[in-house]
Amino acid sequence: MSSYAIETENLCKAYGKKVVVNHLNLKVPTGCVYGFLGRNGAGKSTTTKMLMGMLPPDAGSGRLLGDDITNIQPSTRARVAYIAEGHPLYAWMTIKQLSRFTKSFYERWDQTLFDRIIDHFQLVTNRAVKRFSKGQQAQISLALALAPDPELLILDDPTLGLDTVVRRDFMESMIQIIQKQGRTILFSSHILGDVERVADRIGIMVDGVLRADCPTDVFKQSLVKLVLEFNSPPPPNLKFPEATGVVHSRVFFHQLHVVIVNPDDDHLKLAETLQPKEIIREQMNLEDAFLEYTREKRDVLSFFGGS
Amino acid sequence: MWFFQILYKEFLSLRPVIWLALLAFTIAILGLQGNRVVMSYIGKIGPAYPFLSSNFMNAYFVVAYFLAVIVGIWQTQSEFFRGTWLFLLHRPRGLTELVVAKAFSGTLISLTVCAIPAILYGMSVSIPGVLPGPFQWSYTGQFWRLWLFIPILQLGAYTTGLRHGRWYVSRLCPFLAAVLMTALTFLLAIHWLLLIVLLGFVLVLQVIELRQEVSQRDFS
Repeated sequence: MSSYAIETENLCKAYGKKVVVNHLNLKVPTGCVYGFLGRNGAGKSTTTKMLMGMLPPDAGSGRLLGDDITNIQPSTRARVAYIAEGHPLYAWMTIKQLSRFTKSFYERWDQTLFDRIIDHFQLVTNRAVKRFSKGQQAQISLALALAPDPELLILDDPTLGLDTVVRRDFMESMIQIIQKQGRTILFSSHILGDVERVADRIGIMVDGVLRADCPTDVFKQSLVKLVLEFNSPPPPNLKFPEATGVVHSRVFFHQLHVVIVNPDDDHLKLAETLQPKEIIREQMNLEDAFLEYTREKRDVLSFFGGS
Repeated sequence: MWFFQILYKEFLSLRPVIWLALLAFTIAILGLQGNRVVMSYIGKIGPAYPFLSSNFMNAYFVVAYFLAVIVGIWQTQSEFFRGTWLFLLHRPRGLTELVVAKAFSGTLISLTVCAIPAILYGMSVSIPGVLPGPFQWSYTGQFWRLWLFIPILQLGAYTTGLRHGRWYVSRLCPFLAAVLMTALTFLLAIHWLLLIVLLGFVLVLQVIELRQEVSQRDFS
């Protein structure tokens, strides 16, 4: 059995001339909580839909718990929970009807667990889904996803559109789920704070390309901002010299901000050639690191690989 | 069992269409029987002997075929509109199996909704004294013959709803093929058994087409 719950090889998808997913090689180890990040339109949702067999890829291949993603067997689907973006549910059904409907497809359905989650969120089971708030609908989705006791959870932006309190509650529930040994979770999100709390590995999509794939801590520690302080404002078009690891640079008042992956002595020597008054090294949190890493559109980004 | 849950879900989802169809059937039957209230609204439709006159058949099957088409389109478009294909198709069954089960649920519902008013009507007119002449169930032969085309039209509309493309171009092909098939078979006036074999063959073709659509469709 593969040590990866999800594996893709050169997975591609284009809509017309626009390439949405470009030769994606994604590997999610079994038992890992994987934060799948990217700005709007980066290709996260398209990737998750291809992984779930809802969208045929144009090229490449993928495996989900060892099954080809273009032909996922029912027995494999039963081991995977999928929450699509926006928590699509039959809005006119009550929770009771939804539970009965969903349960009929599974041999392994834990009704006690489902009832416990619904009770925990204090949801009334004989009320139509459309009468619940967006946050409560997310909670119903989570309960339905967990009741079959899945080995793998794929959550497409599960906290999108939720207010802070509900989001926090949802994430707390997710943390509890994660505690079950061996369960793999892939979740995409825009909210970096959420990812930082739960993910032990992250992947960053930029314009359909997976530009980073590494443990969360490695990403945060490797990405460094060098602030070059000048006596007078530098020319607005001043750029840091091209070098391996340089993500981008930009002028900010009297400073030149340079974002570098794993800066070394060579980078510092290059910085000194610009004759700054001072060079300050700043460590960033995940949110800043993500923003800096994906801020500008460029052809080549430094790639985070390794484990 | 999961198929019955899909059937029940489709029934719940199609309730507004079903109620409207039942209302239309009732109005059609009452109008054809000279009901004063109905005729004061829709005018005189003309005399119609149950299941034999063309007035009855035309009025009834305009509603029935329209219902079949609406059911097919509604079944697919409501899922796209709400994004719920993603929820349904993730259930642990084959994608084709789920899409075909949903289609056949619509077929069963359309057939049942179209049959019930006719059966009730037949039962009411079979009571001695209701009609000026005798009534026999054999009069309903042509009715059931036309009733058999409902699945063809509903599945044609369903496949069109599922198909990728522009509504007014290639997307309409499965539906237009179903209409053409219905018209041709009707005009040929072939024997019962041959008709059933032919319709069975068309249904198999439609399922193959559905399977093809499922393998190519973006369900997002």
